[in-house]
Amino acid sequence: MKFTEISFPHPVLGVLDAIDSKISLFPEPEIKSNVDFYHITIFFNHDNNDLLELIKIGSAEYFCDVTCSNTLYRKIFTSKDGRMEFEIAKKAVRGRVEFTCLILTTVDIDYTNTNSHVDYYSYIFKLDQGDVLAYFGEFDFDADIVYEKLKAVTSFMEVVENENLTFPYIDLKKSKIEIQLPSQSFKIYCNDLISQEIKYSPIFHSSFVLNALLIALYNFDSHRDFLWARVIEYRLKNDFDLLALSIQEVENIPEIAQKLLGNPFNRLLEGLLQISESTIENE
Amino acid sequence: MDKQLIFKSKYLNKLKGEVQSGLLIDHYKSNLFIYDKTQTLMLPNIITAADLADQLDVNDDCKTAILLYEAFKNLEPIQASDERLWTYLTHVDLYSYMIRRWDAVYNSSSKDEAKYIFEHWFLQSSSQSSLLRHALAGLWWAVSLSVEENKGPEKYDLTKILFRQLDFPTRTLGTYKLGRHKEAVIGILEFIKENDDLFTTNFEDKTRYITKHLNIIGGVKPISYYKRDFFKAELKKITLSIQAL
Repeated sequence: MKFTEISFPHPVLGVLDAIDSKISLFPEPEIKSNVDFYHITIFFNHDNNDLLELIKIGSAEYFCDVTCSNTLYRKIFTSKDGRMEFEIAKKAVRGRVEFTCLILTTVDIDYTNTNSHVDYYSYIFKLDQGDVLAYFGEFDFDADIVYEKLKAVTSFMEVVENENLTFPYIDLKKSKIEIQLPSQSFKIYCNDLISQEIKYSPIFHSSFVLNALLIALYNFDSHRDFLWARVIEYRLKNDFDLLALSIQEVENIPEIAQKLLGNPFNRLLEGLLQISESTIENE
Repeated sequence: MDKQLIFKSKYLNKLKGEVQSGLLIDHYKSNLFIYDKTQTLMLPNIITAADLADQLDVNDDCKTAILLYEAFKNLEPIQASDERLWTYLTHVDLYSYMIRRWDAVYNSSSKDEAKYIFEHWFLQSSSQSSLLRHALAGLWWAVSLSVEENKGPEKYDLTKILFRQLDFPTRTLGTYKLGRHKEAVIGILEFIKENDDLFTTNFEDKTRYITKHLNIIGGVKPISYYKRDFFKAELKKITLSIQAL
């Protein structure tokens, strides 16, 4: 159902100006993740007395339709009060999980609403069970994203070998940004003395990781469907430090990249200082 | 009993790249698909279906679909939508069935061999329509949507109706949002079963019509709220229109 494109024959709160009352999903829905389940909490918020009364007498209820196209998952949840909690098994969904929040009739009713637009005055609407009375909106989350590990660069980027290359290549058409290294370079990179050495990580971050990330961010719009872009988009919307930086403004991109990688230039300089001090000590 | 294997993601992407570049196409003209056996992972809770390929019937999609579903009954939705599993099955365990059922590359009659391989051997994306159109995943999901486990020996009766015409599960009903709601699928199939004389002619046109009709209702009503009787009642209202097709 595309509520922004429908004009219902009866007044529906939340669709155009059919009913003059406040309606929102507030506070924002909570999505918590444990080992096996996503735990969802939704707060249905409105101040329409006629609808509150219908819910109170059992003629209407809060309703959430949850769907996931990738696993053909479709399930409904209902509640008699404005706070709804439920769980979704992790093995039931993949990728985007979408939620639509409504109030529905639970029985056939004759319906009027005191706050409805003048166009609806003096009409009594015969509604069937399951008809929509209010539309709170929609939201979604991405089940492919491991939210607990989002801070790690590995959540959106990886270094791989490409035996056909002479020079490195950044592939954005993969689920993670792929830094493809020629075989010889990859073997050096995989050497424990380099890749497992924690003091070198700022060097990697401020060199090819930062370069790859900048290329990705400058090409962000044309890759929005890829997992790496969805992970970064989530961080842009949820990391306090990144909230004020719109990726649509190209001049913000270097700062976004620095913040996503945790200030790699500064870490590089501090790291170099550390390496140089340990070298002096060893001498 | 052996555990079911799947391809590693990187190997899957490599296969796709090599089909795209044309490098691998001749492999699909062979009786055995040669692949890198080190590039697999194990599904710990799924047992491999030995000899399944020999039992599948290239002339009977419904029978094949039921056998495939029975063999992989315990798949969780997240596994049944896993591109790595279905691609492994099309290329390894059920390859001999694939080259018989979808033989245009095998017998060199396809005009665009890479496109044909992508359409049948690989999942185009992880969306519902792609899953339902896949040569094996589509069969499994069509049974999953129509089986009634509580009906004993008759549990596949509605599946058999769904498979009267392959486009119904794979292109029409299965690809609509409506197809995600099992009660809707069951309601439609029960209506067809109970009004069989209505559907003796022009089955494809009629099933397209009723699917579209219910989809339009889904534009203003929350389809997932309703049980099968709602869909049957809605279809009853348009009996004359169905008859006229």
